[in-house]
Amino acid sequence: MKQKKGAPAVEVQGLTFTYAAAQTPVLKNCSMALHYGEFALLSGLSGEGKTTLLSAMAGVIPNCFPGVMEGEIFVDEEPVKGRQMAEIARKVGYVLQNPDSQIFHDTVADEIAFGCENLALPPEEIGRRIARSCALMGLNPADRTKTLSGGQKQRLMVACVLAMGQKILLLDEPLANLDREGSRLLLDTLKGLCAKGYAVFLCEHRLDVVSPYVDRVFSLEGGTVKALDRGALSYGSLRKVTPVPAPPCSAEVVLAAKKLGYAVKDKVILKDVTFSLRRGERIVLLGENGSGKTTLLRLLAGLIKPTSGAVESALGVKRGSRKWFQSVGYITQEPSYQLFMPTVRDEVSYGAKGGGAARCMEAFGLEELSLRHPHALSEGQKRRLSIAAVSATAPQVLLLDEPTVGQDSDRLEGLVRSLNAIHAETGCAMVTVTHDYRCAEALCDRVLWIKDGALYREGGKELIEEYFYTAQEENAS
Amino acid sequence: MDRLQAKRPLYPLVSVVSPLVVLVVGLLTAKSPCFPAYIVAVVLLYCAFGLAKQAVMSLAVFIPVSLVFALFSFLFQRNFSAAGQMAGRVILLGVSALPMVTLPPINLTRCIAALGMPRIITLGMLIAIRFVPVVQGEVGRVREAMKTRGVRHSFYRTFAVPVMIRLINISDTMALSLETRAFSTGREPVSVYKPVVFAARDAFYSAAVFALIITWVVMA
Amino acid sequence: MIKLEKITIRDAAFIANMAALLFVTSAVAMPLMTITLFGLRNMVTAIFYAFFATVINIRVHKPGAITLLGVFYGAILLMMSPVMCVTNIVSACFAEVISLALFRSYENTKGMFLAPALIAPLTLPFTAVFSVIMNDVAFSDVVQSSYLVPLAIFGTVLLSFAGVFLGWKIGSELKKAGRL
Repeated sequence: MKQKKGAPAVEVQGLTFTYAAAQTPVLKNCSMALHYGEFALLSGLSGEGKTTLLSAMAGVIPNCFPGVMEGEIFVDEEPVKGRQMAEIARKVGYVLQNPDSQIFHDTVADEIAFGCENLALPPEEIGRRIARSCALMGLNPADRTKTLSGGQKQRLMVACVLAMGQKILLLDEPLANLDREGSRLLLDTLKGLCAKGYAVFLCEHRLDVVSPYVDRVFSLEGGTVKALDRGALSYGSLRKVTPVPAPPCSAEVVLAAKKLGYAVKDKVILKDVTFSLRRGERIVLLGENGSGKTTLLRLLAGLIKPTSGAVESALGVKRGSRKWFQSVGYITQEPSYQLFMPTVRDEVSYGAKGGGAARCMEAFGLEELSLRHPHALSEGQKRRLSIAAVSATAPQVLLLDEPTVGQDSDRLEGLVRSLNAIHAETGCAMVTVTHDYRCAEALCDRVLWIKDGALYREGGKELIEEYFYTAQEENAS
Repeated sequence: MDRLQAKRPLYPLVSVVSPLVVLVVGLLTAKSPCFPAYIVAVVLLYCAFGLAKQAVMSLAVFIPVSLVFALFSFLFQRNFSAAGQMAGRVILLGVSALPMVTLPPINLTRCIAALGMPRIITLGMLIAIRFVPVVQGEVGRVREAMKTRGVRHSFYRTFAVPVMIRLINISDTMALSLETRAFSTGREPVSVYKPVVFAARDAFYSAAVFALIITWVVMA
Repeated sequence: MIKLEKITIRDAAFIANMAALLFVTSAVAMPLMTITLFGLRNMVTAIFYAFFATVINIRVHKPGAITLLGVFYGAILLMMSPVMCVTNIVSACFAEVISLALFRSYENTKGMFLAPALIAPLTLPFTAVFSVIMNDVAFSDVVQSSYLVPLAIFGTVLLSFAGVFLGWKIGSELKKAGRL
């Protein structure tokens, strides 16, 4: 079938879906259409069902994940219901999250060839497609997959789908591991494909990066899809958390980075970063993906050793010991790694000091979930739980890596309020890495802007507006 | 393992079957006093077919290991001859596998696909090869996360449960990735990007292994 | 009648992953190659085999799953020990056949747990047969080589059931967590 620009590529009609193990539907009566030649964005918070909607459009649901599905999905005007995954995959290319778990082969060329082999394409054609998709994604076909960086792996997964030649492309957070340059390369490519008649549907958190490229915007809220105006993506339209005055911090330095540097083999990730963290101070780290923010946080936490410089501590405990981690609370980007107890209540109570557990359960809105298994929670709930569990131990330093991902406006307000309350109560120092414009100001006294592995700018709250608006303008231009 | 890969690998089925024959025949005849000569002959044969570097690397590992095994064997059985046989078996185990371990996995999966064997075997191989390093990575991440929680180590609670949960998630992602790339275990036609063919070199190699086995069986 | 269900790619991927995990954990038995005591290696690997087979049955519970575990695990073991490879495949297959013959499906909890518990004990007779062939000795020499042999046999059975219990325990928790 020859697809014409403007013809419907995927149509979703009254889709309601409930996962087999869940009681409430994650998607409720969703209707939308994606057309050939169109670049559409699906925005929405984590846990709202964006991946579920994409999976349903790709036929993954209910083929691979059982559940109750009502409504219809049409691909190329043919219903998806009753069709096998392998059949749908010939028309719909789907780029999943977590590229690390999806690479099976030794070389880039073999990995890209895999999908084409499954489509029974002739070897000469596969060779041509490998060359073309590698050129588009800036990859070397001979490279070994295990030597690729996170960003390159992400580009490889996109290349695999591009080589398969489907005209409908669904991409689930494809920019997650990409820096600004990598994101631009990918988005330019996708835009070019749209001009050739492809239908592209992208689900992404980094709205500032994506918004200049997209033709249409959909939002998923409360399980329902809504079409949005593109203006809704600008920072000015977002509801910010109101900052509350924080108690003044003391002059005592608890952690100090002295010409801190970190490199892996020849690759410099962080260089010459110098700053001090005072007791009771709140610092926000801003910077692009891959700029070195998480590495800096891990160095402060003592999880990795600097390759140059040092982190000086006034905490009086041995770095890396159990006692150290009772004084330095670290909340990882991926909360599920830190959860291990059989119930939410046990998780928060583990290592809690004084009445910390009860206080944190209440502050982070976890009381209703107290008997649930931590891993049965949504991503947003897991994140609140990991923050509550670490905060309940009353650490002197709290290091938070993207603590607000997956929180809707109300939850976000509550989460930030709780963090600030804990900060005020315990007088802990707080360092937060965030890409969330809505809450950055409410979580800081001081801002460190990290760029290309170095401390680029340092300042007060005013730097937040500058950082986010510069990024938005750069992308728009 | 990458350093072990052969520059000119043999035909996959030959690479799989020949080491098994060499190993099984070797184990059956390990009590022969000439057993070391068999091992030397196998090594020379492999060297002649481009596996010299890999044979040296393998021997460098397996000779010391075999000595340890021989020592333990001697301590348990108080028998020099049995200890010597144990050392020989361990070296043979390491050396005989060379054609197989130096074979790029992709050659094997493509050969299986070209021969029309069930694709579920390809799936198992793809995953098994890929999963071992994934397990290592996940174990490291879980240990680090537990460290950040300042937990007292408990095998079940702080290790087994979180690791299993992570690995199940990864397993599901792997399966999904295969399905979204049109992989199927059904009868759908597939193609092979770089077909692996049985060449004259593979025939020579097979003949040489056959000759070695026959000679050895007669001698032993 | 035994109710047959198709093993999906998701199921097969899960089984292959568990086979790889089984291989990694069973590597602890490698140093035991130096000890020729019959049943010792079977005993050490019994707990892992039963554990992972139980987790698989809790999630997949389809006829063929245990045999597939044996095939995938055997394929990984092929080069390290062709004997163990064949032994594992045959034992897994037999365990599954016995379990399904008795209970017809894995919907029944007893059937779900019997097959995993049987695999390692079933490797014992096959190991004995291979030892007889490989070492050119009489069957009685293999099984009566040491007074520790009955202990190893008993240990294999006991650890198999311990593995099933652990698998059931963790499986229940993973089910509660919505992962199985």
